[in-house]
Amino acid sequence: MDKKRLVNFFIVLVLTIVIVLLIIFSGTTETYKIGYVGAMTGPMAKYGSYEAVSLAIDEINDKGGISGKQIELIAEDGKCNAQDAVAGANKLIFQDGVKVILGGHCSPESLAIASLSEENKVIQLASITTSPKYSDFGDYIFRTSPSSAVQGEVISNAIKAQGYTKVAILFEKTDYAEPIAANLKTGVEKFGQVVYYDQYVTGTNDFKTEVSKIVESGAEIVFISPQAPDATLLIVKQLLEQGSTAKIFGNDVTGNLSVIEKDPTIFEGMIFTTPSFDSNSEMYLMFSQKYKEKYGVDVPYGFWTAESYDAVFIIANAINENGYDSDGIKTYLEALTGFKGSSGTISINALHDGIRSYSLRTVKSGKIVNYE
Amino acid sequence: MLFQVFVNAMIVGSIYALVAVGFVLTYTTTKFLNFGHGATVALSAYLFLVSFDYVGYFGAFIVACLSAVLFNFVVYQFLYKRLMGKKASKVILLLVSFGVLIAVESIIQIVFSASPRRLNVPIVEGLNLFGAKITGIQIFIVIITILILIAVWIVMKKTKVGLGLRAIADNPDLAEVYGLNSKKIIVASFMIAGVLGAIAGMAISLDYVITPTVGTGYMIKGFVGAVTGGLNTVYGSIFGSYVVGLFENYGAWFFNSGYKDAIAFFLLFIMLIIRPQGLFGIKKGIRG
Repeated sequence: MDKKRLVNFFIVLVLTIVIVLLIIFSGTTETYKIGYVGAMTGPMAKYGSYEAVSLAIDEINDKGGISGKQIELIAEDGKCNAQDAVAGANKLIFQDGVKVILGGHCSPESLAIASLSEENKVIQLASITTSPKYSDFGDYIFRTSPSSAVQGEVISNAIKAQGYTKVAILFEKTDYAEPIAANLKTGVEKFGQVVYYDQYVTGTNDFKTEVSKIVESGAEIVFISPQAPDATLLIVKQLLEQGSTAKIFGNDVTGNLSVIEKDPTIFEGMIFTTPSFDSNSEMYLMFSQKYKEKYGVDVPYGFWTAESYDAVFIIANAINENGYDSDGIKTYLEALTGFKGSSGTISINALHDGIRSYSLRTVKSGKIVNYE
Repeated sequence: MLFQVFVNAMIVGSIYALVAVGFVLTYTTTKFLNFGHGATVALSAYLFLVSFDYVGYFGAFIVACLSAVLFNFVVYQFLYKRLMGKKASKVILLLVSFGVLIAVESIIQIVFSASPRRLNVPIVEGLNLFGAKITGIQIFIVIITILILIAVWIVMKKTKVGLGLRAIADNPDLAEVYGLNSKKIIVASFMIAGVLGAIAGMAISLDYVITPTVGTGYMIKGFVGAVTGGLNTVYGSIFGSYVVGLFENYGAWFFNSGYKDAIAFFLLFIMLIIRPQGLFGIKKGIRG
C-alpha cells in the first residue's frame, strides 16, 4: 500500500513538473521573434543600424508590444560581409526559427542572405542597401532603400550642367559602390570622356599611385564611390598633396557627417548625392532626440540610420495587421504606400525596392548645404 | 610620372620596412611569427595621434615610444614567456599573437571609436622633387626610416646586445653555454621591436588616416616584405619591404589598382616557392 502511494506521489510530482515546465516554456514563446543582420562591429558599425533597430523595438515593447505580445530581437553581427551575414542568417532561420529578418544593413550582407531567406520563405526587409542587384530578387525580399542606379544619373547631370567633360572615377569593388560608378560612366560617356576608371579593394590604405594616375589623366572632376567612409578622407588628402585641382564628387557614403565635420576645410566644395529627406521633419527630430538620449551621440548617418529605425515599425504594423506569418507580412509590404517614418515617406514598388529620390548636397564654408 | 610612382613606393615601402624590422627582430630570438607586432604599431599610431594635440610632435613620439616598449614588455613577460616556458609550439604562439592583435584592435575601437582619424595638421601640397610631388612629412618619413635602419644595423653589428641577438638567433643552446642570458636578450629584442613599432605607428599617423584595424594591414605587408627579403636578415627585410612597395605601386600604375594586394601576395608565393629563405636569407642564424 505504501509503495503504491509512493508511486502515485511520483506520478503526480512528474506531471506537475511537466505542466509547470510547459507553462514556463509556452510563456517564453509569447513573443514575436524578429531577426537582425547588420554590422555591429567593424567599419560599417558606425551607421548605427543596430542601435536604431534596438531603440525602435524598446519603444514598441515599452508601449505594450504588438497587440500585447512583446518583440524579441535576435541580433547577428553581419560585419557588412557575406560570410558573417550568411552565418547569422542561418542561425536566425534554422535555430531561432524567425519569420522576419531586418537586414542586411549594407548591400554585401543583404545580397548574400537573400536567396537563403527566399528559399525558406522568411521575410527579409533590408535597409542601407542600394545595390541595383537587389531589385526584384524574390517574393519575400524587400528593402526600404532605393536602388543606387539613380545616383549615377543625378551626378552625371550635375557634371554636364557645370560644363565639365573629363571625369575620373575611383570606386571600391563592392556590390554597392561599383554599380554607381558604372552608371555614372555610362552617363558621362554620352557628353564627355571618362579619363580614368579604376577600382580598389576594401581595406586599401594607400592611394598615392591611384591619385598620381588621376592627376596624370588631366581629369577636371574626380568621382569617388566608396563603401566604407574611411577611404574618402585618405583619397581627398592624397589628391590635395599631389596638387590636384579637380572638383570632387562623391556617392552618398562620402557625405558621412562625422568625417566631414572633423575636417571641413579639406572637403570644401565637394558635391555628393543624398537621398532627399527632410532632416527637420517632426518625426526625424523625435527620432534623433531619442537616439541622442539613449546613446549620447547624434544620429550618425541621418537618412540611413533613420530608415533602419523605420523598418521596425513597418514590420510591427505588418504583424499587427496580418499576423506573424511570412505570407501575411509579404502581402502587407507589397501594398505599402505612403508609410510616414523618420526617414520620410516610404512606399515599395513592384521590384520590392523603396521609392525614394536623390538630391545633391555640397560642403560650403564647412557646412553641409543643399547644392543649387 | 614614373618617378612619382617610385616616390610613392619609397614612402609606403619605408613604413613596411619599419614594421618588418621590428617583426624580424623578435622572430630571430624567439622563432615564432609575432603578428602581435601589428598591435604595437596600431597602439602607437593612436597614442601618437591623440597625444599630439597636447604635447606636440616630440612629446607625442615619446608617449608612443614608451607605451610601445612597455606594451611589448608586458605582453612578452605575461604571455609569450609563460607559454614558451610551458613549451608551447610555434603555432600556438602564432595564434596567441593574432589574439593579441585582435584584442588590441577591439580595445582601440571601443576607446577611440571606429571613425577614421587624421593627425590635426593642415594638408599642404607636396614639394616638387624632379617632377614628383612629396610633402615635407613624407620626406621626413623616408629619411628617418633610413637613419633608424642604419642605427639598427650598427646595433646588430657593433654592440654587445647585437652580438647576443645574433648568437641567440644562430644557436640558443650554445649561446647559453657561453654565458649569454637568452631571456634577457629576448626581452631586449621585444623592447627594441617596441621602439621600431612606435616609429612605424608614428609614420602612419603622420601620413595616413588611421582606423582601429590599421595594424593588421601594415603588419601583413611588413610580413610579406620580411619574407621576400629573408625573415632572418635585417637588411634583407628592409630591402624586401621596398620591393613590396615598388611592386604594389608599379602594379597599380601599369595594371589595375584592384590588384595591389594580389600583387603583394603573388610576390610572397613566388618567393616561398623559388627561394623560401628570402632574397638575402640564410638557412640558419641571422644576418645583420
